[in-house]
Amino acid sequence: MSGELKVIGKPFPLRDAKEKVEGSAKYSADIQLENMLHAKILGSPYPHAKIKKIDVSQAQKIKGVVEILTHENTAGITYTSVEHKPMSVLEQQVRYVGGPVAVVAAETEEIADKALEAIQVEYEELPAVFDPVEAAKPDAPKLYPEGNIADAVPGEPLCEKWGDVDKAFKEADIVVEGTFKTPIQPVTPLEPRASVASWDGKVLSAWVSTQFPHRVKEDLAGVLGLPFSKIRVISHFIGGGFGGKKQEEYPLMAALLSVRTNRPVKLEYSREEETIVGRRRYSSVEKIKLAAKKDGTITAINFETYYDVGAHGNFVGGSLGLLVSEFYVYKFENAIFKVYDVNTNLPTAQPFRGVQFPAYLFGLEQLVDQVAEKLGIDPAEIRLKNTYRTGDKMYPYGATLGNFPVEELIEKGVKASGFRNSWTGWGKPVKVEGSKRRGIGMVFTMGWGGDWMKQCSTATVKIYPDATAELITGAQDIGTGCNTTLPQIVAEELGLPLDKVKLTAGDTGLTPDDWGACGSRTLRSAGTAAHEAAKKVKAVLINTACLRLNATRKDVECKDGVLYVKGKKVQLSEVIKEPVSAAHKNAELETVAPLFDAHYMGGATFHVAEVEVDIETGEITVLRYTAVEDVGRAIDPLIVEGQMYGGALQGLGYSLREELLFDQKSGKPLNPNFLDYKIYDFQDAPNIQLIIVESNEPTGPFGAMGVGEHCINPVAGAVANAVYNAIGTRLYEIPMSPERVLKALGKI
Amino acid sequence: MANNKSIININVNGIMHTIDVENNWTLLKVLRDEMGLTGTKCGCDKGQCGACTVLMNGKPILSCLTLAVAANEQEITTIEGLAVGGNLHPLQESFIEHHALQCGFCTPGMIMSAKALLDENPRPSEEEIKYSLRGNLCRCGSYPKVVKAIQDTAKKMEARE
Repeated sequence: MSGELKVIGKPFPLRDAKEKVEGSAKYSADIQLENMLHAKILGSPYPHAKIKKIDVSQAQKIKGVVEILTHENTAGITYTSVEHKPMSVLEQQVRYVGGPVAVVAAETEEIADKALEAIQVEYEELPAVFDPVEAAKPDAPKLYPEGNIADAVPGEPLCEKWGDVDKAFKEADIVVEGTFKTPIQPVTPLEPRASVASWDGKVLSAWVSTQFPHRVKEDLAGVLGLPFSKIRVISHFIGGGFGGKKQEEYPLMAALLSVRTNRPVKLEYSREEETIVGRRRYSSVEKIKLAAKKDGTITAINFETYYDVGAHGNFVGGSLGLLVSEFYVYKFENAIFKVYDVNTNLPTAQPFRGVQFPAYLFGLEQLVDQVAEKLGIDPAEIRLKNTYRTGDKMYPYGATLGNFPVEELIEKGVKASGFRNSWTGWGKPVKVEGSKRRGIGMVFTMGWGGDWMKQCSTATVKIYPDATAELITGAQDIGTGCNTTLPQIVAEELGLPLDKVKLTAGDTGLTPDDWGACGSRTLRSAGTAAHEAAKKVKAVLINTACLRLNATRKDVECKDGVLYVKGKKVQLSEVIKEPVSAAHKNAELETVAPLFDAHYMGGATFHVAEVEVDIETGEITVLRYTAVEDVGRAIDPLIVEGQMYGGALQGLGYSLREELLFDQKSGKPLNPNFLDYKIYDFQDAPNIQLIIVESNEPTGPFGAMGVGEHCINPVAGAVANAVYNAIGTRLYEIPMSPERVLKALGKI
Repeated sequence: MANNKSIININVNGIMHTIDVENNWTLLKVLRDEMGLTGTKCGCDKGQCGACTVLMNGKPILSCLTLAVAANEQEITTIEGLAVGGNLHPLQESFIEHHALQCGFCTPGMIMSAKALLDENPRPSEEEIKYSLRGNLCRCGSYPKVVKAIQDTAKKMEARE
């Protein structure tokens, strides 16, 4: 099939690259409107408090202050995102340090800052809790009247179980277990969140840094009491999202201020606000236990975890993962997965790339290695033994696994990483040189191909008489490249050169609904909608040709923007004088249980890390990193590589150094900036080898699956297994800082 | 009350401007808010991410840590000034060709740092590129492709000479 493809599988300049390299790309904060006000947020100094009294009278007297929002004058204005609890735009009860207390709109940023200082707030401090295990206890300080466990049934953990776990553990030849801790990782896109809202008395136009423009449109309509038709969310350029930029309070604040002042309003987060008020990954405490037979068959898992979902998070991403995806990477015949999503007095958590799976694999894959070591089985072998294969029925509901080329991935990864040359067996480091110990480790996993909310993608494709086309999609490019890959799909189907397919996106006033950019769903879900719409418009064109040219359908072929009627070329302009268009909305998927699709797109992923650990300093250096991923089909291989590099680098940061710290008494964040919270820079990035596998997933557009989400998942596990191989001691907490390495070695 | 305003003359992308500024305004603020040159980005406003990098007299500076008054009588080049007569700079072309960008927010700062590097060292090694651009952060993971794009630009520029 790939031999026939003309547009797919080849790199093209990114649709929006020229604007990005010229500096003409307008991100939300770049929008400047006449007569625009500037808004600033007053954050809470306490982690948990009730606002007893708020006095804005002094602030209002400052020249240039135009409007101030507080919980008093926004009472009853609420919104609900799928990923957190129903929230007021401003609440009387603040639940983390930095949580919004008031918002000022003023003529300049300086005046707005002065006004913040002049607002007088009397707080009633409430007891706070920062640890998810503590917060889950019945006598813990309560963030919400119903308690801190924020699961689907409040107060109850979410639980999924099957088989007979007790029996499996009793009959096991070996049992391994561990408690693993993972940190708070803020998203830190380079673009701080920003919104410019402009109300003209009829329509509210809002530029918003969001992955979810159509959901933000709904939030704005709800908050302002306006119909969807009067809201326009514009999101042409988004400076990175990674799961963090979805539905939040800041665009709602800017819009309320704009409507109340009848002036455009800009609200931009500072880097500190981006790190704190913006979203972050769950921290977790995971207890995992595996049972296995002598031959290496893993027979049972017992998994109990506490996720810290922060001030306003809910169960989405934490325990919801139990219902939709790949906790079930291995054929566990018997399993208990029990997850508590716990509110704490820390910033709100939201699914950040990979959601909870980087943490899960950090624990699980270390235990799989322990089983293999105890039984003297090769690390690649034990994974091959326990993983699913293409077409398998998966626990617990019998979903059928799509293409899943396990052998190919492991073979390619083992070869490219030089694993066989480095690995000298269990208990033996790759190399010892002075205080330096070298080790190698691997992780295999499944991902998800992008079926989440598949039915919420619609696309329209138009064909013009001059043999050009237009794709109109609500899908959002956040640096992920879908502004290029979606037109590639349409161009391929219509047989047109890519530059003949125009893209209309990034403006909810012009585009049909799309759920939003998350869960690697865009290429699969919006891609399918685009592909099907292109097929439909082609059928419309052929039908029209039959009518106008008095031909039958089998006589007409549409190729390369030209119609062939009984083999004779007919220009489109001879058949249509006006553009023809067709829309496609994806159908609901067949399910085997609520939220479990009958078909599971595998997204097999295999990573190998080789590291050097200095046992004197505790420092870990990644020498070589190999990432192998089945992407179904690489619509644009360079875009796939970009995603895989990004996943690996964010994962290495998570493994080795990224951790947002809080003072345990005051709840104040200690390092919300790039100096004290170090993401990887040019010099930190190690040599990363990428291997793209294309299994041609039958349910994806041209065989493609989503790529971007799960490429981060294996990293912490792979690095941890390599570190163990190097030093013979396991690390149970990330980031694996020099201090933690030295502690594990008993040196401090 | 002390006078807290100044009038500065700056040459931005080859055009002389005379502007009234507050003494505490940064060059970044003047470029973006007063001159509408929003290609230069504000990622942290504290000199920690490199997104605001511009050239002052050919040298890379962080415009968020530079007061506008310090740019008086100086020559500033921003990302908007790189293309000449509608033709992109070879670095811009190479960034497009190699997909050396994803979300694009850090890209203008990266390109300006790279320009300063190539002006001074037309054939930098991989290590020299990484060292020179270490202050330009990217969260998307574009580093390996940026290195390639810069190396490729260096080769092409040398071939043209």
